[in-house]
Amino acid sequence: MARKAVAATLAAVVLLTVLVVADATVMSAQNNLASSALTSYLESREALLEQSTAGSASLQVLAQVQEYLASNVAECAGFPQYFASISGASSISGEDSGISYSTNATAVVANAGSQVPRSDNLTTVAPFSGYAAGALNLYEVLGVDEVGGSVSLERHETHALNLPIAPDSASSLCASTLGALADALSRSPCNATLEQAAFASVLPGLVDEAAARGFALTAGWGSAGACSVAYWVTLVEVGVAGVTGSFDWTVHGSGTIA
Amino acid sequence: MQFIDIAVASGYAAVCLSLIVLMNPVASRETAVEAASQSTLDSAISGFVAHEGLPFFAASSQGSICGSAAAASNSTFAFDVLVQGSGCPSLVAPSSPRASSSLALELPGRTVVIEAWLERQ
Repeated sequence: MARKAVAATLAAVVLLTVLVVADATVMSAQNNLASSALTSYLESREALLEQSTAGSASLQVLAQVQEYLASNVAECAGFPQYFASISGASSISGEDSGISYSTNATAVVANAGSQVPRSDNLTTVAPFSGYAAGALNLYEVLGVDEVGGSVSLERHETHALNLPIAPDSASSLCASTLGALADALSRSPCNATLEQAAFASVLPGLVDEAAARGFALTAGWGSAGACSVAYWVTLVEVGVAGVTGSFDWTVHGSGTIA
Repeated sequence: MQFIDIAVASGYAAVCLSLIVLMNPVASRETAVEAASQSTLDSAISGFVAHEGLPFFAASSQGSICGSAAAASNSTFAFDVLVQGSGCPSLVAPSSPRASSSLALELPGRTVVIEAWLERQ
């Protein structure tokens, strides 16, 4: 009887031990699975935050440049200084799902000779990402830092952005318009009637040419004392599709004939 | 002697049963399932943002944005977009979703929050 009891006790001990070991094994496997799933979730969340904050910071930079273009008239003779004064900077930081993130973006107008990439992988801000021929191209430095648990992400990149104004076209149009006005007004010096007639005859063609290139042109002239005349032209690129809606970009040029 | 045997065996059994109860693998499994659901939702949000592009959310009207959210919703995912805190009136959150997630976009001049739910199949 006593031997049977001992045998039953030993069997129960073995059975319970096996059960505990099996349960611990399953628990360990489930813990590993949960840990992997959590790491995977953190990685996917950080990728999503990187995508959204990088794009948002870039859009904010573009919006600043757009605001500058809309509120500052460019002088035909001062294009280099005008574009050199354009810059934008943006910073986004916060915490999301246990992930601390910080994104910084700065941008300046790309020089003609700078190595701006023709295509760009910042696709969330398309069509304002990448180089666009004839448009205002920007060179952006972008930094993203994220830390969430054991997963961290650090990215420092350069990107090409663009706003669809046409500075090259505006510059050449301004120069040719001012040249045509100077030519017309200089044919009959000191005769306001003939000067007005010459101005009126040349203006419609200039307006049409500007319209064909996407600009609204207005021009005028007046006496600048003695036999001198002053003339000016304003070119407006109307309804440029910007990042926060359409805007107008204005270019102004002037000259005098002594 | 017999009494001690019974006491030791009973104590061991109690310890083992307690360990089995404490080492419950169900909680870990639920954590893994929840994390996987969140990852799935984040991928869906990422796809939605990539498809529309951030300039769309920055410059479009609320009606257009709500239309795109409705178009992106299906039997698996449901989307809503809050522009400056105002959501889409035509979109209703599922009553008992399997998981939910959101993403705040700090866009020029407005804050847009994309909310997504994983529907129960």
